[in-house]
Amino acid sequence: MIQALNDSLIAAAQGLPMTLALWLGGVAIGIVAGFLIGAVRFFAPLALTWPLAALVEAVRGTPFLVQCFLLYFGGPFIGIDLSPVVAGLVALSAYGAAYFSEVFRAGFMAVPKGQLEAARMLGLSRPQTVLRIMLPVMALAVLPSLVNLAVILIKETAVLSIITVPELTFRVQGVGSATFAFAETTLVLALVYWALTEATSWAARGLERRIERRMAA
Amino acid sequence: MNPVLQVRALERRVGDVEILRRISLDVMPGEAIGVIGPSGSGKSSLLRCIAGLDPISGGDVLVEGRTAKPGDGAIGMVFQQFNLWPHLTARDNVALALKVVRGMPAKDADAKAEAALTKVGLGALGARKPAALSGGQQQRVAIARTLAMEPRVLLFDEPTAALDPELTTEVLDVIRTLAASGVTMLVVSHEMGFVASLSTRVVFLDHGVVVQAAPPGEVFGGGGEPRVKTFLKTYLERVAWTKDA
Amino acid sequence: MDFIAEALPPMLWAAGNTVWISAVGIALGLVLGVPIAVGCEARRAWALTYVSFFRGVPLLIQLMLAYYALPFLGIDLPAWFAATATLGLCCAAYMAEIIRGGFALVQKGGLEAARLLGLTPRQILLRIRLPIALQAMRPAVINEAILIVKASSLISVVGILELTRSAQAIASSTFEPLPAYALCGAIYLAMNLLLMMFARGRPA
Ligand SMILES: Nc1ncnc2c1ncn2[C@@H]1O[C@H](COP(=O)(O)OP(=O)(O)OP(=O)(O)O)[C@@H](O)[C@H]1O
Ligand SMILES: [Mg+2]
Repeated sequence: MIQALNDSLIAAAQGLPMTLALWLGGVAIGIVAGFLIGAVRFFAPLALTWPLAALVEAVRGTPFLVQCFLLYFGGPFIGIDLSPVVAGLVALSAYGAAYFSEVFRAGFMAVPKGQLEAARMLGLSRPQTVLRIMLPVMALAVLPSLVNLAVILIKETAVLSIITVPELTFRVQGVGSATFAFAETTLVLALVYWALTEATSWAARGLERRIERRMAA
Repeated sequence: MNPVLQVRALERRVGDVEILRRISLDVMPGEAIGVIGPSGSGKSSLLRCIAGLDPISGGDVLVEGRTAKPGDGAIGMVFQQFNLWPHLTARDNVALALKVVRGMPAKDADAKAEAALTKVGLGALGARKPAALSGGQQQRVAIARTLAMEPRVLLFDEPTAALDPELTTEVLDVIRTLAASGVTMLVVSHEMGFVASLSTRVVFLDHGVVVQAAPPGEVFGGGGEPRVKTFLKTYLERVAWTKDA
Repeated sequence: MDFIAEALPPMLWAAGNTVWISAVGIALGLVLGVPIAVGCEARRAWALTYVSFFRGVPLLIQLMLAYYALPFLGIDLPAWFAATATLGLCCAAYMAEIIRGGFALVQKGGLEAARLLGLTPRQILLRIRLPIALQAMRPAVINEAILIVKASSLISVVGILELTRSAQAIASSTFEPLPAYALCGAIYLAMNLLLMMFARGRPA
């Protein structure tokens, strides 16, 4: 049993970099793409944006696992032949982008109209208003939701083990299949993920508090 | 002397609703126009149409003979809700447009912002964010922000309506000082004493129509329109009721 | 078209399993969410740890724990039972937060007004606090229900025949994963759209 725990921890250490890389990559791409989608959906006329809206709803309305299967197993039939890692990154980024885009869209909508009218009266151009007023004002409002989503995405990376991405869960499960010590390996997995998500939330709370203090200065 | 602001047959309709009906008004340099009237009479709409924030369905708004557009520096507006930008200090709120619209060097813009803040009595608080200011202080920053751009006409839409009573005086005093120094302005307010003492002329709006436009002595003196009299009587009963009145 | 005619009936049948597993999970979550919400409100360590654990660990790992670790402790449950229970336990952690949020929205003033009018504490709870909190919670609860329907797809991993598992089976037997998973996704989407319409359609 000690042996199994030991092996699990080693496998976890080996799989962790892949999990972190996929997570950070997925969050980064998801935030950039989500921001663009959210901005287009907010600023462009409805007639142009409804396909984007349909896509976002389709991603938000279906399980991440099914999306992974569709991309990884279905993709090759339409010429999208991706390795597990790339498929995993693409799926995670797309999933994140759909949710992030809703956060940013809500953020744009939440900027008080009067603050934009004030900018307009003072002669700020549209790009200046977006850059200097809208983005900073909404950055504060969306931060908690962004962190929340980032934590959700850490957990979704575990699903990628099912399409054989060699990340944390996949590696540790490998120890399980070799030794049949599934109870120990799963316990190690649970604790490692728990620590990861708690650490992320804790760091985010610290960041939020610092920003709040600066706002009240 | 030519009027600074000319409003000619201004109309605003939304659907079938006529919010403003053929409003005409000439404002001379240095005038302070008080705008009063019942709730929903179109006071805010008039100011927003003059500012160019609400689209007009007919007529013209001219500042020094030219059609004014929002942001061209001709008209400044102070809102009921202050609308300061929460992520910027008071000084940066005032200096931002000077820098990015007027292209002023940062040092000059900051100096000008300080001067504008001093003018509204906030010289010492420039480094504070709006969240760390009282409502009255926030509104004074908003006034300084508009003032620094040196507009030809200043519009105030109920500048004290969102403030606790004890904070209204400090804002009204700033507006009074500006009027005394010759700033041309239109002020919508429910503070009748303030309007009466400040204005060169008072405009009474009802259902989107100018019912009376006259010096305050005439409007408040009781010689005016019956509708104005009823409005003022109701107002007085509310704010200054005495037993034998 | 042929594919749909062949694949749709078994998938719809399996979707029925998804529906009842999700429904049980959500119901369990709502019921268990109440004491956990109360525990969190009282800053009890067990409740806070519960919420932190079930929100912090991927559901996939929770399912594996129930499937592998419980038998190891000598607790042998049918797979579908363990899976549905896990879904419900996880859901409860989120529901607890939603319930807390709902009750936090009930304004103090309204309660004091009710007490001054002579309502008993029980009447206040049933006639004032509960209706207001329930109405405030509704969008979040529907949202959570949608998340649970989607999360139930992970139960396929422990071998239970629900929608995703049936799509997997059809994908591998027909060698047509693309339409199989697309159809599967469409059925999930339809279920979730129904849930959303349900949320909007009934005025509170
Ligand atoms: N965008 C709009 N669409 C439709 N109706 C509008 C719109 N804006 C204003 N109105 C209507 O126009 C009328 C005048 O509104 P306005 O806000 O100008 O009144 P006001 O005199 O400023 O009132 P208050 O003293 O309450 O501020 C009101 O009946 C209002 O409901
Ligand atoms: Mg108004």
